[in-house]
Amino acid sequence: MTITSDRSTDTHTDDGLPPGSPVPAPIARKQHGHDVPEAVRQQNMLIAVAAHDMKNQLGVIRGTAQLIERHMRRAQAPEPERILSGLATIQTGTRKLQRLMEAFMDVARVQSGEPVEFNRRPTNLVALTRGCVQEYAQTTSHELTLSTTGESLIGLWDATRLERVVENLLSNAIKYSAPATAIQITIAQEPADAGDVAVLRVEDQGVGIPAADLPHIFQPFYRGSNVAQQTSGTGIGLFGARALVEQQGGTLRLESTAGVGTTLTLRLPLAG
Amino acid sequence: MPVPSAGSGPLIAVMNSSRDLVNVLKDSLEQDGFRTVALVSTIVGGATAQLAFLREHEPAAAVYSVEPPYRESWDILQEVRRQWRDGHFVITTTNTGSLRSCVGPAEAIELIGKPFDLDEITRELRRVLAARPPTLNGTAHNALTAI
Repeated sequence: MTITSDRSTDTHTDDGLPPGSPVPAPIARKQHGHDVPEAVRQQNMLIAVAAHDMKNQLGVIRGTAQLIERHMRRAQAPEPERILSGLATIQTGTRKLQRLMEAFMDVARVQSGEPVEFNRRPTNLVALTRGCVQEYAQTTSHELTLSTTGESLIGLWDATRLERVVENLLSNAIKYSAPATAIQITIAQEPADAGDVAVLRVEDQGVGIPAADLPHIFQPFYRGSNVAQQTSGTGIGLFGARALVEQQGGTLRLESTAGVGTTLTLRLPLAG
Repeated sequence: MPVPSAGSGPLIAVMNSSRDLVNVLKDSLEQDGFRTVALVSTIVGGATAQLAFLREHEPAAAVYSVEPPYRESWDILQEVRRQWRDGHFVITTTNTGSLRSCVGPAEAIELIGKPFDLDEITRELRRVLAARPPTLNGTAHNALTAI
């Protein structure tokens, strides 16, 4: 059975409630043997994850600097190409670190109910997605395939945050599917009630999400019961991604079948 | 499919979810005379996938990252250690505090968190490999050290 999770529909909302329903009160859970309010537990997790991701990037930057230093000391004739490549890695690392910090600040804003200030400008979803796919294709054995109906699909979106959303969808597909399996990414323009929308779909053949977990899957830090004990994923991504999409007038829809795979569909209004 | 690097030094498995960090560690270890094989720890499969990787390549040691959620990650490592006893683990982590709370009193290990010094990883690998050379058949002596 395929389960659909879509906040924009009346009958199958991802939080299991009709639109406009109040959010259920958070439940206190055990953390290190103590009852901890859910909000505090989530905040603790956010901090832990932020620290983990940032320290990993710092590790890359420090390690690459050490490798360059080693090369300069050990090589009789240091190779400029090697040094330049290392410096490029450091620059990329600092950019990733900056993006991580911005992402976590956005999540903190969303969690506290503050609006995110978007920098909307004409953005080509096709070019942006192609760049993300090419970057991920360099570091995964998954077969990433991008299909588009054209080379340009432009809307007034915040490019930095949209890139973060697309990266999140791709990294989830990679994370939750076995190596060397196919991940299909499609981009199209489709009609909608309020005008045409840009549609991005990311479809994997991964572990999928059990039906019982779907009502919670867009909650911060929530992970499916079939991966919660196995993964280092934190679950903040979908929560943050959907918030960024919705605040730009779009929707993020999830369809999943446990053991078969997951499709995430992003819809964003196009510039008039 | 991960392929071990060429060379004649001891084979070291690099197990970390960050591809960028894996590349840095591989470069460093290969410069220091080790061969490497990497698993960018995909979470699908948990201990089972990690054990399959270790049994396929039979490395002398693994540089293993314990990641959030630390308790679950630590439990997976314990399961892997229980079933794969032929090698040694050098553990890296971004949260020494959480990992310390997972470590039992019988495992008095020093925990130093990321971002680590690459030379320290090499020193630690050389130390455990010199102290306890890997066996051909698994015996109950795999070493655990954390950086």
